[in-house]
Amino acid sequence: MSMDMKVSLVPKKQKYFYILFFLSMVLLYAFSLFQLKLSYGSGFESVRKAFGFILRMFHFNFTDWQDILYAALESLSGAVLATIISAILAFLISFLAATNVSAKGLPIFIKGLCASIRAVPTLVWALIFVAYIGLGPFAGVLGLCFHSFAYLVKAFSQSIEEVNAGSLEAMKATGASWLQTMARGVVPTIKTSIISWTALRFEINIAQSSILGLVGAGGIGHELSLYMRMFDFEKAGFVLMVILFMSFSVEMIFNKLKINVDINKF
Amino acid sequence: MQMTYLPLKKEKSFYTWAGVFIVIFTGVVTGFISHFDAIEAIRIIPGVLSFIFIDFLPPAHTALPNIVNPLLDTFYMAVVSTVTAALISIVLAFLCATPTMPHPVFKIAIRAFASLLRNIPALAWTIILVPAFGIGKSVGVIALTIGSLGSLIRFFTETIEEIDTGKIEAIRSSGGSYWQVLRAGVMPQCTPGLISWTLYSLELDIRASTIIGMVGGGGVGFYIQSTIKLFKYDHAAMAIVIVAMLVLVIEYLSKKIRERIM
Amino acid sequence: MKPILSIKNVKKTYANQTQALKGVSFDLHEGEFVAIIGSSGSGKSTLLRCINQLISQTEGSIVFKGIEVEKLKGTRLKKVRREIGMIFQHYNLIDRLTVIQNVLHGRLGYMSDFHGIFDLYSMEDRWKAYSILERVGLADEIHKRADQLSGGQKQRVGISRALAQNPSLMLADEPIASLDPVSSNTVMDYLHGICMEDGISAIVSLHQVDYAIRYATRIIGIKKGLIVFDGKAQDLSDSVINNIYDRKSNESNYEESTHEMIQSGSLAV
Repeated sequence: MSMDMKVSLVPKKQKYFYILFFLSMVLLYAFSLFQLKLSYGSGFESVRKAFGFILRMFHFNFTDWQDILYAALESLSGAVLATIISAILAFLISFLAATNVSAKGLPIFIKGLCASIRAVPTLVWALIFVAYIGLGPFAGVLGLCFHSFAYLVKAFSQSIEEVNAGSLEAMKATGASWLQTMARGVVPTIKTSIISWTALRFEINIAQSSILGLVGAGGIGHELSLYMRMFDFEKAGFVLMVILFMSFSVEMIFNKLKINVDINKF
Repeated sequence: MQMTYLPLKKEKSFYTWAGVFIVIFTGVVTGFISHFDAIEAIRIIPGVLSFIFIDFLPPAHTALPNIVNPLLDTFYMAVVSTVTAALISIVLAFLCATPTMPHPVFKIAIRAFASLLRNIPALAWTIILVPAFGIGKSVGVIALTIGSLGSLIRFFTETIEEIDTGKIEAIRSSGGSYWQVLRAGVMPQCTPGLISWTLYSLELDIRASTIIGMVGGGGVGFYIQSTIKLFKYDHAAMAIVIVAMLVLVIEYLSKKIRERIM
Repeated sequence: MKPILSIKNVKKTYANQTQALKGVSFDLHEGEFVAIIGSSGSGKSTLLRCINQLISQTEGSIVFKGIEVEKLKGTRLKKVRREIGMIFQHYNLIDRLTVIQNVLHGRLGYMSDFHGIFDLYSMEDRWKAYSILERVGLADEIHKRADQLSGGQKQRVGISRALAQNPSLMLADEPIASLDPVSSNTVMDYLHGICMEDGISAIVSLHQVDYAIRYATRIIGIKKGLIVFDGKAQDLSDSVINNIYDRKSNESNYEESTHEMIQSGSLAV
């Protein structure tokens, strides 16, 4: 097979789309770069400094390890709790948000509301709660719950919508009520995807909860911000290691358990 | 009529109940550790709602001029970071993915590297790099890029590894060189996936970009944080609403484009 | 004797302007085993689904045991539905659940929501489900997950689920369309046998004319939303079949040749 045969690998229309896409991305990139007006001059000096600091971070100073570990535990617990609460609430609401089992008009409303909640970054929600109830991990967990809930409603309702319509029809035909059909027809079918989505969200929540502290919502982020402000790289390095360890181990555990979700469907 | 017990399925329902118990137990324990007061949480719901609806809404239009520039910066930072990260990641992913890697050592090294980058959130990177690069958009871009780099390397690697190796073998067996195999066999199969992940990464970067301002990374995050601290809630609300709209628009566009290419 | 089911001038036009049923009328008497034949799109599915109101007809009335079903809603509709069992071409089981759990879904119409949600089936119900499964030869598979069964087995589970409802009427929408000939025979044997033994009236839609002739005493032929034949199986001549399936008489066709082969004895069933 000769490599210079002019056979199009992709339909014409799609090819134009790709070209258009790449072109606009290039233009957008150039435009954005220009608009940012970054200062490139001090670049090398800064990079040198950065490496220096990062190197210092590897010389951990774990004198305050008890406080740090407790803070890490706080963050971890916050993530776990937020995941549990938001998963349970989202599970209940998702039935109302799924187009194939809910009343007319309700899914659009709920999905729209959740999309808006999700569009506000978790940290901003945390800030709002901090403003209302004060500093500390409680505000952080609430903020995390909010965002988590909205995310899971979308994910769960998607799983519900993928249930075979025929199976639900059959249960309806036996005279089963809506609740019975949901509980004994839908739930057994979506059980594994619910768990997958919750696990995925848990990973995200672990990462989020570490940084909530950076805006005053307690946990290990608070410790990080503290040490960095004092330019205490050695202590900060230890904190980062703890954060890394938490996040990393969760990822490893889930990999072992092989919980898979296709992001492209989201 | 026999009335002895007839189970409905093979495993005992013990496991289900055990699972429920574990979840409740974990919930209670973590609740204590994170100072979560459930009663309090329910009690404050009306308070929070009135807080949001009265203090934050309606958003203050007067704040708009102060928001425009930071918001644009936020957008530009996200774009630049995502694209830069994508370009670097493509190269690294090709070196790392099983079908295209020159040598297994690349795979291990790059995977570890990406894992390291990915498990530290962009916000944390911002804090780490501020002492070296100072506050501002530069550090924001670098932090976002590093964060995206980690995720994109992993996503791209997965995309490349999902291709049909049969087609690659076919080209290779007809005498194609490494680069020819790449161009004719690998690229067409994984381009939709690569673009899809890049767009997803853009969504994530936009979200991250809106908040790195809070720790010195430039963008609208700083504005939101300071207006809230100064009790200027309606100003903050304006910024938050615009941010939400930006996120929704990018999500929508991303979805549409991904639908077209998949 | 009053008919158990009375269909009067039922019409159904879908939202996209397709007219599935253009005025269908017939009566069903207790104990009858009726086969509805017709090509795809003739309206068989729609008709069946109107009977238990999975689809509501645009015009006309359907009277089941003296009640006009199209006027029912909520609990009263559920009470009527539980007396009508239905089996489907694609079985429509809950794949992740076991055989016996699927069969017990037939009892949900008789249970409270609370009992249904938490799987609190009485021992009596469980053993009843078991004995039904014994009747269809699946007693050894009761704890198997539904997706581990073959097509024929799945359909038998479907039949069992419908039987668990203690129905007076059985609706079957192309029950053997997805099955191989051997499983088709097994399924139809069970379906027909049990309905006859228990005195359950049945309406079975089929596109295989040979099966229709073999099992049903009465055949209704539907073409483009109208009944073009309603009578005994013996009266079903070739020309009528051609009319139903819209074929010229000298065209050879699967259904027809199979029919001929069965009649002449060259294809053993």
